[in-house]
Amino acid sequence: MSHAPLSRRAVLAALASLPALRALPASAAPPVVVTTAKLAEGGFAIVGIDADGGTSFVEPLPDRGHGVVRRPGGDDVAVVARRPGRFGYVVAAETGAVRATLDLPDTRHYYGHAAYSADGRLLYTTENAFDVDRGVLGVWDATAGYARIAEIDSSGIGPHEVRRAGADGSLWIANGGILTHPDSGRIKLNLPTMEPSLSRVLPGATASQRVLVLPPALHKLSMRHVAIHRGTVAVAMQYEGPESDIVPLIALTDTADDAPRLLDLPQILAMRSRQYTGDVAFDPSGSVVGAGLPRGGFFAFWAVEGGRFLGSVEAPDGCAIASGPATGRFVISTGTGGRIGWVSAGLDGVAVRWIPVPIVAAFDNHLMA
Amino acid sequence: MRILVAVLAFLAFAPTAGARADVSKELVQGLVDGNVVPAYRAFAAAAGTLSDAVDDACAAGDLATDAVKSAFADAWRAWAGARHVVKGPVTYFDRQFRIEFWPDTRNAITRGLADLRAEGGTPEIAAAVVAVQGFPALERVIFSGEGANDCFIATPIAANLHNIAAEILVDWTEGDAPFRRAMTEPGSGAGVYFTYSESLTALMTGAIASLEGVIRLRLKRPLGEDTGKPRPKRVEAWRSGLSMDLIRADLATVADFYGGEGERVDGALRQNGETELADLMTKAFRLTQETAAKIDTPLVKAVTDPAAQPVLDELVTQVSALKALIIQKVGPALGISAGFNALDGD
Repeated sequence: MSHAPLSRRAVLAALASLPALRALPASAAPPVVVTTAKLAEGGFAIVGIDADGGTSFVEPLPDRGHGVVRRPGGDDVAVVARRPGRFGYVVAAETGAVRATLDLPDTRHYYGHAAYSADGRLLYTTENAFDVDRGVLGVWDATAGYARIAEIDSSGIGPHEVRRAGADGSLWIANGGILTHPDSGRIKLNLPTMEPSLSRVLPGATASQRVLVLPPALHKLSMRHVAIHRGTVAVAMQYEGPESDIVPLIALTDTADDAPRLLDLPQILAMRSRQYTGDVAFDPSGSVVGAGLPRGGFFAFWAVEGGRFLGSVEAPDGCAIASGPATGRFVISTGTGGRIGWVSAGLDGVAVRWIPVPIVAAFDNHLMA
Repeated sequence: MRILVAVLAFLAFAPTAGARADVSKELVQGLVDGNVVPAYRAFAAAAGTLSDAVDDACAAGDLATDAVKSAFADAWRAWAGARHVVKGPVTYFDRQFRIEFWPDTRNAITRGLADLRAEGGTPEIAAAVVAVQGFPALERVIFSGEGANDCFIATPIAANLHNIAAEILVDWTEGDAPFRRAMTEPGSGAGVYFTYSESLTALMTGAIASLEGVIRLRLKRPLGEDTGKPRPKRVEAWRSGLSMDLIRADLATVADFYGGEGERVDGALRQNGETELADLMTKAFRLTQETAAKIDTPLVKAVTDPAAQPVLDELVTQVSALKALIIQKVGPALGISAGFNALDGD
């Protein structure tokens, strides 16, 4: 039942021969959301969606993608495979046209996320160096055709998301702490001894430092995703202990302060959550933080100051969340049913306006708005 | 191979079930009381017998006696009959890893046992590193250890295994909030499940994980399918030669979960009118178990034996087909499905 690895070209040729896909209506409107998805017609792609849920572009991918990130000061978008995948591309933000292929060494696979340096010169991808059981950032030179030029140790096992802080340009890495190896698929090999951590690469540095390790009682809280607003970093976590334990899932840490603030959910939502978050974002003002909880089937929102729970949005298999166009605004999507939601969250509560996206069967865990 | 053709045709062409009747209370109760709890009861009993056997052998100045080896095999097989359950009490206090820390990719068992030997005395196993608490550590002590000199390690490991097994059973069945109630009375506040569909999803997740473990860890990993280079010492339980027995126990318990006596998945499918799928599943389980029964040399030898390769490959294919059918057809036909983004760890 295993599939031989297919070249991108072969996959594209095969997909192009499908009449349904070739006939996809590409609208003229520019994309307001760029994300990876499973298409209604089958197959995986990076897609651009316009404000009305129409299709700006569809660029097929050989398998399931994960994170997407835009290059500062340009219109390159980098997209990498969901772990333990090995494809990575740079596409045009408006058309999805492929501009470069990231050529990964044999002993690495992606974890699914990437970030650019503030000047847009370098791209960093989170990777498993599975020959040595270490987490690394692969470093690619965007000004040299995305040649791979270096690696930085991530200071932990299983670096999942890396994001750049807008304020100072440092990179923040959520090291999930979970050891996996391609020869055993996605099966976790070190849960009893896992040690997640948050680490940081200062601008221009060639090494990372650990900045946050949770107390031993919380060592099974795998740090997976990060969002940053000015000096505040939100870390979204996934608990590897019993489902019935109720643990904090979002940690807010001040870059100048070691003790994280842990956000709580109301009890019923906490029970529904299965102690699992899939994505996190701040609104543009930094006053609200939101998270996708796909196992619970909802998004949750908190006031950053004071940590008060503001409300939730029901969304089957909902995961992806990004900062929206104004204070209190977010963009979200669902893994079941292919919908994009425009959220408004604040002290008065939380509201959402859903827009169906017909070409998409399931949106992936992350989106760029 | 004909079954594979049938499975692939079914996966490709049979329509995916639409909306179905709600998951029934009877199905969840049947699985919990007819499959899960009996599996834990058998494991607790077998672990007790093992602990007694080790005590007896050590009292007589011996360790690796036939009685100990036989009780060890029974207990590990009984555990394999319960490791298709991945939710609830087995997840408390790292129990699943304390019972069986495997695969040990960083040689933690060797290091842990060396530490215990260096310390001497009476080790408090339940407080020791996870790697030395369970079957793989006990296997080394019994099958490649220092005989009765290792009784000071073997006795507490066996007693600890019995304790853990007994605690899991108690947590499922007794006390104010038995986990059995969390499953069979969703929404009652006894657990984190709110509907029978969620209870069934939690149970099915374990059955799927068990098949995935057979495919990935127990077969493909030692077979070295990516590199073409077999790695016999990656075989589970190679020292005791129990490897295939454990795989057969995995398959037997998932087969019972699917179609054993009483309320099971098979009956629910047929009630939903999914006769064709139920017939295919029944046949697929039977053929897969027949293939597993054919492998009569220890797996540690079979993985490097060209003559055994076709049968092992067939087993991988068949278990993979079973797993694909459960995820893609059985789950949806019962009204449950794995989310796209709710999958693990992304």
